[in-house]
Amino acid sequence: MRNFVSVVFDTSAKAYDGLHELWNLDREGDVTVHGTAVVHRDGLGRLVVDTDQTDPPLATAVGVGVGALLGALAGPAGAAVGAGGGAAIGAAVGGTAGFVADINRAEVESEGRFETGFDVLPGQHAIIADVSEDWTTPIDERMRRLGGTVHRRSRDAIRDEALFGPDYPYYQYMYPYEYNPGGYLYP
Amino acid sequence: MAKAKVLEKSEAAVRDALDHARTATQELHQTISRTLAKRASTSKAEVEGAIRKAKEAAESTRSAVGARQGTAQDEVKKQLMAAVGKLDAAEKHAAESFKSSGDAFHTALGKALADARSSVQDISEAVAAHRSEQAAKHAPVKQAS
Repeated sequence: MRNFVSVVFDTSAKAYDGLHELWNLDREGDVTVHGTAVVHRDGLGRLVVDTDQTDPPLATAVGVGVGALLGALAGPAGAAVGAGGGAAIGAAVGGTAGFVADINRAEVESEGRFETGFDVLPGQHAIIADVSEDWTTPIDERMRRLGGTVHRRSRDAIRDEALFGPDYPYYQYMYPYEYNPGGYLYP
Repeated sequence: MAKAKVLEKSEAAVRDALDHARTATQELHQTISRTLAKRASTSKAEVEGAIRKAKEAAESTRSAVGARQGTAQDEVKKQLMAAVGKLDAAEKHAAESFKSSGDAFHTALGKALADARSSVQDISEAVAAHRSEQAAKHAPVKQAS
């Protein structure tokens, strides 16, 4: 089954351990990982995609993106975090480098509404992954062992929602291999 | 017994070919995205490296198509063949970028990156389909009570 999974961690180190474990599960053949990204919420309440580029200014903006997807994965319940103001403004690396989307007010509001369902506090980190898995135990077990909280929804269910049609740029920010950010570190 | 061994060997060959093609394509994506991120400081040698990697990834994926039994309708084969087309396009766009400069250079390399990303996607979907098929094949058979 094709699913989108998000896993929330308290620290950057744990998130990258989680990312490593996810790709290990792929190497072991338990799941197939199609793409991953690690994001964090910065001190201003924004969700930022970690990239492996060494030059932070190369980071470009994703419009309706990461926050909305994370919110959709978490479902409608949850703490209100950064609605509107917490919309995703982060880095994009993937399909088209240098892609900059216009973030108009309506999009930001929509994203904020989705994002209220997702609890990534300032300083917390999350993995987003697009995976094929025949059973959910391998990811759930390994991530729990690392202290991560797993959210999961099927890709079909996500795609049925208004914001996530076939043109939604999932692959603008998901790396199709394990990566580590190069030149800058997160607390 | 001998037949089972031959089958096992052929399954391992397909798995290895798929893994090889996937790794080659992932490396291609990594190379192009890093080259593109350097912008003005990109060297011709780096672009040549990307063209070479695109060619290798396409060859590796063609080998995986060859290793896989089945018709053109086979899901794994279909995904791999789609990836081959995109890898050929990535090579073509990378070659175009080699001959150009400025905005044209970035446009062509950006297209090569999009092709590479899409081909990784096709191959990882082929890998997932192959793994699911193998898991179903080797799942324990329920005994009738």
